[in-house]
Amino acid sequence: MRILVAEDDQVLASQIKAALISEGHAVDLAHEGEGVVFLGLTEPYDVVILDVGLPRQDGISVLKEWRRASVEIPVLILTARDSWSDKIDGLDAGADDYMTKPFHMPELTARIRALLRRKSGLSNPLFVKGEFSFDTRTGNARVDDIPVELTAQEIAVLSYLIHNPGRVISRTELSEHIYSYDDDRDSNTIAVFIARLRKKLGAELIRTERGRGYMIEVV
Amino acid sequence: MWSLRSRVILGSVIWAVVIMLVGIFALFALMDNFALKHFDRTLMNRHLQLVSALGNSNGSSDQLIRLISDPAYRHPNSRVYWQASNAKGVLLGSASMFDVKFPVPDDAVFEPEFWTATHFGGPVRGIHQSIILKDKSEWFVQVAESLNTFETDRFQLRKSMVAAFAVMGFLGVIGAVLQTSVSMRPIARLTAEISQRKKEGQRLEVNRYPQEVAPLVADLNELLERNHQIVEMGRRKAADLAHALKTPSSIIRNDLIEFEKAGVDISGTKDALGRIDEQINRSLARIRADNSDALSLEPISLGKSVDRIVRYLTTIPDYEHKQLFSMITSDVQVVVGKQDLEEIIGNLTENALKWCNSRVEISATQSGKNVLVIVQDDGPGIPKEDYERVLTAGERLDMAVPGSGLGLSITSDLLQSYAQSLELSRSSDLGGLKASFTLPIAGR
Repeated sequence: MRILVAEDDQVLASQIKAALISEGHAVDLAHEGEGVVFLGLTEPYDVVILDVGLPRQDGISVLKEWRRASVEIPVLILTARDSWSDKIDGLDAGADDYMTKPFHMPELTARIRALLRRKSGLSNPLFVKGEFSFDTRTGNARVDDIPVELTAQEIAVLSYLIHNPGRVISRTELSEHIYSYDDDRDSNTIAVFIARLRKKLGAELIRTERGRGYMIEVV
Repeated sequence: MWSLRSRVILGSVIWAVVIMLVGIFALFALMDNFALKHFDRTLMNRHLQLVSALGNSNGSSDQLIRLISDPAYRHPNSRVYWQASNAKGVLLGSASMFDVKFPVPDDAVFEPEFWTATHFGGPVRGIHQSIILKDKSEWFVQVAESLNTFETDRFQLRKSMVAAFAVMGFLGVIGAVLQTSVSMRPIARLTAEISQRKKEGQRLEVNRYPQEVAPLVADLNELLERNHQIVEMGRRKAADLAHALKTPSSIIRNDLIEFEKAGVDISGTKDALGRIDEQINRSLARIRADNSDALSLEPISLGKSVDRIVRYLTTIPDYEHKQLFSMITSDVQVVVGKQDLEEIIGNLTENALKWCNSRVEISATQSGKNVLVIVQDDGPGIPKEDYERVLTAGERLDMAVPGSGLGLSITSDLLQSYAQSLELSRSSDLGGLKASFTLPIAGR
């Protein structure tokens, strides 16, 4: 999944990025409010981690601007402001979750996963279809209860399809959600990843809609 | 301290009394002097008349009596008298003298001389003079009149004057009191509007006050606005400080996790960082409580603030299996800072959710000028002997339940800044803890 981390402290932003990449996500960083607004309006992020105290434009006004423009990205506010009024104002501005600093990284990544599941309508963190199962918390895949080794990009493609069940996803869309802003995106490699996944997990898991894209059917 | 009104009234009364006394005594002296001079002039005229009659009488008493035309001398109780005497022992007098004789000095008195003595049972004033007639005879002529009537008239006049002065003094005091009341009206209005402003959060209108009071009103508005700015600045600084301290703390904490994953023993460092975080939270909470908006005093809706808190808490997964109810149906406006109210209700409600079994209720009851807010739960409650302890910052009764131990103490401190207090007791409805406090209702 593709995640935007909007945090003005670059050390902390790098820590968060590293933790999310280790879970298979593609991560973009932004350090000031106006740039964050632009990225949110133009890039298809799956979730945003948003600091309130951003330079040039604060996080709450960024969020309000997105919501006015009907940008529905799930947003987790990560901030040092812990008063009740700040928490409620953050939710009222359109945030989906609110975490205060200092925080535990495992808790942050867990809440990001919860937001992604909620967005996809997945009530269960464990996706099961026939003999195949995928744990969205750990990125572990199993067939007949036997663990299957997947690369980071394969996990990213599989995770995106599982989080958008029943919907046809084009190669372009897949590449936009598994690569970060600075990565070289080549939608042809998507076909390679799909082929590898079918080989490892079974050909029936991912269906091809000719000329349109790929889909994992709803269970 | 005496009020301005009391000072003016007392000053008016004292001044009125002083003026009255000075005026009365001055007038009395003036009047006495005038009246006595008039009395003496009358005596002199009578004396002159007697001398003239004596000169024309050739020493005959009958002739003299006929020539003295004033009939008053003939009446026994007329209180006007005359007496004439010579060296040969002749003594003539008016019928009103009876058997009284005025004393005659041994030596002649050729200049008219007034005298006052007691005769006929009362004060008598007279004039006497030695005169030499055409026939070279020397007579000592005296004319006198009783002072009783004079003194009676003088007493009546004084009585009337005192009454008149008393009425004038009383009217003067009344006038001063009325004038003071009219002059004090702008100050009374200022007092009432300050009190009203406290309830409705509005600025005072400077142009409704006279020029003597208007600068004070303008300064008061400025002072209240400045206080509000100071509070806002304090809060912004606290927020900036929080941002500056908590972000590096997060970085250190996350690095420690990586070290721990690599097998490094970080327990000591983790504890130290935990103590730093706790101190930061405590200090920031103290700054927030010290910068309460107790003077902002814009009325806010209690119901809406409670709804905001309930809406937020129901989104937290930790509490999704618990029931949180707001029983507030009427929209009561209270006089308290919005952030402070949400801090108070949020802390109490979250504390209740942490400790309850399954149910938390928030209610509000209006009573006169105040509203009583109650947050109660169905948890184990707190022993009475621990009430004071839980209101101390950092004190926690159960370390197993997550929390900083600051919520109740911050709530208590915030309420104290509004001259209110947090009361803890056992809930008779739900069996757990009942936390209650009162707030003033706006506009009452």
